[in-house]
Amino acid sequence: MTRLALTRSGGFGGAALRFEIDEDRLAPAERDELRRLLAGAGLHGLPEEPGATAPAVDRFTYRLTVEDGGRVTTVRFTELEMTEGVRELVRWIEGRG
Amino acid sequence: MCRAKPTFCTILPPHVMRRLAERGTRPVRTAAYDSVRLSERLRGARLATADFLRAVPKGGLRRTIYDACHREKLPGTIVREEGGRRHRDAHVNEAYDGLGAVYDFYLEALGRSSLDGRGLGLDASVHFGRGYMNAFWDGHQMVFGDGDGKIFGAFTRHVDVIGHELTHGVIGYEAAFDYEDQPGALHESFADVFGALVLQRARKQTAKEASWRIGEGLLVRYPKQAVRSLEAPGTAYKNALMGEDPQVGHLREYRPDDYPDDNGGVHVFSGIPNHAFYVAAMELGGYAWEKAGRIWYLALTDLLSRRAQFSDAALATIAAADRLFGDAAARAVRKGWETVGVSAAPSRAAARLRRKAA
Repeated sequence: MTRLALTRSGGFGGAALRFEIDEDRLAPAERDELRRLLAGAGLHGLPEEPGATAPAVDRFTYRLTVEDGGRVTTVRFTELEMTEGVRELVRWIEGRG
Repeated sequence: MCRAKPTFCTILPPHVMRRLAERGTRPVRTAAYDSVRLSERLRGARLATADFLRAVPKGGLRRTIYDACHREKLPGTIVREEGGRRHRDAHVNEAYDGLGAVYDFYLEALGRSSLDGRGLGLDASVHFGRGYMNAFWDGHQMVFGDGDGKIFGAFTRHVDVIGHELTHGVIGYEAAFDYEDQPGALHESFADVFGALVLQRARKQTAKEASWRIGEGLLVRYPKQAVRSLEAPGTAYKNALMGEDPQVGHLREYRPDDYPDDNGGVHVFSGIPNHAFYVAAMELGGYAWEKAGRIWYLALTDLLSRRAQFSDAALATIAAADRLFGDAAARAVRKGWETVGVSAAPSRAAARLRRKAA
């Protein structure tokens, strides 16, 4: 059983929004999709804090927590740091949460 | 001493400098302005190299609008160029007109040729991503999402939003504030201030007639709400989707540690300098871009730099007001900062650097 919580901050508006996904509530096809996206994102290899990149003026900053069985992983990153795999996962959660 | 060697003013205690800037005779006040200028430049950040990096002036407005076709790859395909015919896609024309309004504002109200002051061509991409709820300046071009249609509508329709984003570009060429804590809040605030002025000028509204809100009509389900208010920070929106506008308008509520995911609350505490501008503009009266706007612009382009704090912005805008319009204007600006609890003294970091330099 996997649960995801994505908090999006910043952007022009600056308002923080929270998206939540509970694997138990997903249809089987969506579960498969989530598995695929999580594998593709490689979150466990990401640092916990955003790196010192160029200032992401009015861009989004994300905080993603994945609870997978007993294992909890939290990562923070800005849009400028998203790999293609992370972007796919984030956009999927935003479209659904 | 100040008259002979104005730069010595930088070692005077802040309260003395402030008094000189306000009440001294004209030459003394000029010296005080120069000392603010020098000490801000000493803050290390106003890079001399920036001048070399500027593009060669090409002259005139040159817009290029691209369609990102719902992907997140920039810039996309060219759909309209300067002087080209209107496009069947309204977003393209809105972006084109919006860039033009901001260009005209900077040229006609402030005498600045495009974002870099040297006629930089203005590029923008529309339809970035799918339901993408943001618009931003990426350091090279303007990028517009379509909004998700539930919370945010299309950003292209709002010249204050475009003015806000393109002003981030101007700031990058000028004070280049660090994007965190107080310098970051100043980054956001100057963007809001000039974004609001672009809209007021397009509507020919005086300070008293203007709504002083950013992004009115941008929230799809709450057409009477907005994204930020310079008149009353914290009151722009309150709804089930977004919660309540978290902005504050007084320094006593400055708590950057509460907003680690917004670089220390750059979008929250910009309300403090925003409200100072509003009060100053109302005091000065008339069209806000004619006096208040020019004062803030002079501070941004001539006095402030990367690590500026609110108190530095206060000192700089008061000095700029005095230089441009004299005593009464300086008092109006001072009242603005007093209203939000910011005193016009150089920050401790600035004072330290100043001592070192002396």
